[in-house]
Amino acid sequence: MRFFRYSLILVLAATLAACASVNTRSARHAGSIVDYLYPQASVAPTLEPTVTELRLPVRVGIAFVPGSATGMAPSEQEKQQMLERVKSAFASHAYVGRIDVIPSSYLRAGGSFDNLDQVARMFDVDVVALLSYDQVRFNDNNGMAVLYWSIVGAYLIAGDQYDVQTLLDAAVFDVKSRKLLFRAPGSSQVKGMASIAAFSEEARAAQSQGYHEALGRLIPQLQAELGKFPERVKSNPQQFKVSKEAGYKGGGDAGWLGALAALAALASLVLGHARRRAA
Amino acid sequence: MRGVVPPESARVTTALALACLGLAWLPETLLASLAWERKAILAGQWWRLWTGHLVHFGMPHAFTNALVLLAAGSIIERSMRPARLLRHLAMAAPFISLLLLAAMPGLDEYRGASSLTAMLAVAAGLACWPRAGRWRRAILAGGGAFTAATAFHALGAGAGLSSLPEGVAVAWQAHGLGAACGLVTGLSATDAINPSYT
Repeated sequence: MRFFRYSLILVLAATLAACASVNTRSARHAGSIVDYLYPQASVAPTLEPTVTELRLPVRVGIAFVPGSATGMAPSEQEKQQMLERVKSAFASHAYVGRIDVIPSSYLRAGGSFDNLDQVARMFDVDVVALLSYDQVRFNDNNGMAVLYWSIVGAYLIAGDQYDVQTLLDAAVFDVKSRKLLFRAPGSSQVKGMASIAAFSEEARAAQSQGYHEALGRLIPQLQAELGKFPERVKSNPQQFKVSKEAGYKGGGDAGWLGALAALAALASLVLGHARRRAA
Repeated sequence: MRGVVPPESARVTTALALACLGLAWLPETLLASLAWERKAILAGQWWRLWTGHLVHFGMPHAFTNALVLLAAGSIIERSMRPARLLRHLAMAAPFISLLLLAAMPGLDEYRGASSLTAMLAVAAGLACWPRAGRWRRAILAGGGAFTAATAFHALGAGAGLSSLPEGVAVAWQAHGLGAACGLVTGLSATDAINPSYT
């Protein structure tokens, strides 16, 4: 009888303890650009020195690289929202023409440049901005977790801690020459505590917040790179060749010489007027 | 002298120049909704036929055009009533826009007041000519410089003199259309410039 009582207590204790260790210690979700573009590369890829031809206005596609399909992955809706934010960063630059958001389903895991070529042809884009991501969530218990032994504690006490670290990276490729034009990273760290009952929901919200904060840090870097890119193209004529084609932007421009002539004309008018008034 | 106004009353062009500069501060999304855009116009956004001439690709572009607009306008407004000039500008803007739409199928987007500045400059030159006296050489030099600049841009040269950002071509055709409108405006100016101002 005593053996039966002790066994029952042991089983009950093990069951309750399981509540406090239901969460795994860490979880990771990543979509790697290297895995996508060079899936079977055992040595570093070599690129032939080629001249990158850019047709203005540049037609841009924006997509997330395929990642591992786990519960931590951002939803398709979240991805679309983030891609729209990246799109608006591109849209403010005059040399960029049409911008298409490419749904993840069009990119195949490990598809390499062959898949990228297909997608670029399908969407009629010259340049593709690929967003890769790597998010790790660390889970820990704090001293308050002991109160999970009571059912109420599991609902009220924030005894679980999470630490979500996110890295986003936008790499912009010229599809034809397969050249990386520029890249911009963004990272974030979101920490918090939750009760075991609300842990999944709050950790999920923290992961989503992690992506958005990382993107918030990526966008200014991307803007800076987009701003510097025309200068890089200008100063490297041996690497880049720019051509204008149908579908360009035109500006009616009087130019700096026109402005100088206008200043001279205005000065002459003002001086003439002053002389007449004085006379 | 019918239609002659004091030189300090370049109200129309001052307002236009200020509008160009003021609009240059707007966010890109708003500017994009005002720019001349082929697809948007064809989809019925007709206001772009006018507003495309007032928005620019950045502050340097707006500044240079506003300055030339002000200078040319200050001269032509001596010879034309503001309301009449405004009517000419209001008719020329969509006329130029529609011709760009028809004659330049490759042009997706256009911004800039320079076609209107070309129009005002040519009109000012014509209005001044009868009584310009020793200033005729200056008018001819200005006309020559305008023609040379347009030819340079047509040949794809002269990019260093442009205030446009990278990736935007000088729409020299718009300057030509503006100059053609300027011929009409200049010839229809109600009176030659007041000789006391030359």
